[in-house]
Amino acid sequence: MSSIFFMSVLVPLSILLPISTGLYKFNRLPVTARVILYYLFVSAVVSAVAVFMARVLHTNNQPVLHIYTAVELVIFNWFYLKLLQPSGNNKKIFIVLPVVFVLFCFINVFLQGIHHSSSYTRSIEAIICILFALNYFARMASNDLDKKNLNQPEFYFNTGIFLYFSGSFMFFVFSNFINLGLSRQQFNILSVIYASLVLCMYCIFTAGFILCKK
Amino acid sequence: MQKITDNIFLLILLAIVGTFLLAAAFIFFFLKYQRNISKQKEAMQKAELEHGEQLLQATLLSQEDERKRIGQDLHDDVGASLSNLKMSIAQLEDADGTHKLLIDNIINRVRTISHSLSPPGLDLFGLEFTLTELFDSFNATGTLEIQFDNRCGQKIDSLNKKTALALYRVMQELLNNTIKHSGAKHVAICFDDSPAGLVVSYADNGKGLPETHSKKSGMGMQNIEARLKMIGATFLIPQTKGKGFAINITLPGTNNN
Repeated sequence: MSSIFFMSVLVPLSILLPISTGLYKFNRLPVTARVILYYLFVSAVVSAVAVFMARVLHTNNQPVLHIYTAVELVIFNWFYLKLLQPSGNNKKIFIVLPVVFVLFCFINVFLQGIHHSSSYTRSIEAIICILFALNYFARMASNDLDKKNLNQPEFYFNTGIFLYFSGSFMFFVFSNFINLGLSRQQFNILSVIYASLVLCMYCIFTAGFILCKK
Repeated sequence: MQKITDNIFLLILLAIVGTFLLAAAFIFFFLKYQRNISKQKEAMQKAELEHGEQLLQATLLSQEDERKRIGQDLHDDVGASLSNLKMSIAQLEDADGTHKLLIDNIINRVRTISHSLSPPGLDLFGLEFTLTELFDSFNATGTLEIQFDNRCGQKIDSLNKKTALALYRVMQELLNNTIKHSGAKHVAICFDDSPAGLVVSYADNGKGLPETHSKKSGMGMQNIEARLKMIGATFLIPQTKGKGFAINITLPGTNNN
């Protein structure tokens, strides 16, 4: 199986797995799972547009990814707002953070250029999501959870997000260098690793959707 | 300045794999920690449950000792005093025998109370006789007909005293429950021998357990459970759906000491 097929066909199509599972169980999905499903829809559309631009139109698809970074964080912020259910000042963070981040994404277009990878915003988004995920784990640990809670779909969604962003963090940090400073073969190797992380997240999300029972 | 010869690609690759492994390790240890915590919690709950059971068993044992002592005192002291009184009165003039009759009634009642507190027949004549006596006393009331079937012969009498007393008390409790709650007219009790051990089946034709019956037992059932556990017996309450109440008790490896 060629790496191009894996990255451009198999992994983008694998998003249909959690989406179809989520749609099948839509009526039984809690709010958090629905947010993840919306994220997957957005991700599927962006992925399709990005692949189309890169493989069919042979144009630079980075502008789409600049917008996607902002949208992705807003959705994950919404997910963790529902999951962590913060109150008081903590809730204000969840309201202010996406506004500031979207603004930062807009400024970054001028900082890094629209045709370059949004490594600054992607890296910061990864850090924010990792912190959100760690916050959930900390909440779990302090809540004296039993076995039952480890089988909650939210645990799977959080784990998927945590593994994806932790693994991809270095990829995001060095994304411009990976795109421009490495050979084609080296770029492909790293892209396959990144695509594997995405696939891993989709599989964990699917498991989360399977566990949804209202 | 010295030239850096590190392979940047390799460093990025290591960084990606490293951070992913760190995250995966975090998840792994987190799950392991949570499982350990939940195991500890389960163990603590189990220990608490066992402690509760031990307390209940100790209470039952001391209750049994106390019953035995009161029963013996009633029988030996009060019974003997009444017999003396009866003899004294017999020497007096009692034309219509009213006093003698009254004393006879009191003696009978004291005997009944003392027997119900501590069945003396259990030591002297064995479980079958004591149970028959118990069932006869229920049959005599006319409200309940008990059909007792002993299919294991002498084995029932060779049970050790602790087991025999526990089974006797369980039968007593079950019959009390039947009278109090089921409205049954007929009870079938069978002691049978099986490869699994001694099997006691009890079935009445009352209204059975309600459908909303919770698994949390009442005091009577808790006593039954505790007594059966004390002698290592297991029990099963089959679903009868309103067709009476039934319980099957199995006493594995029946002790013949």
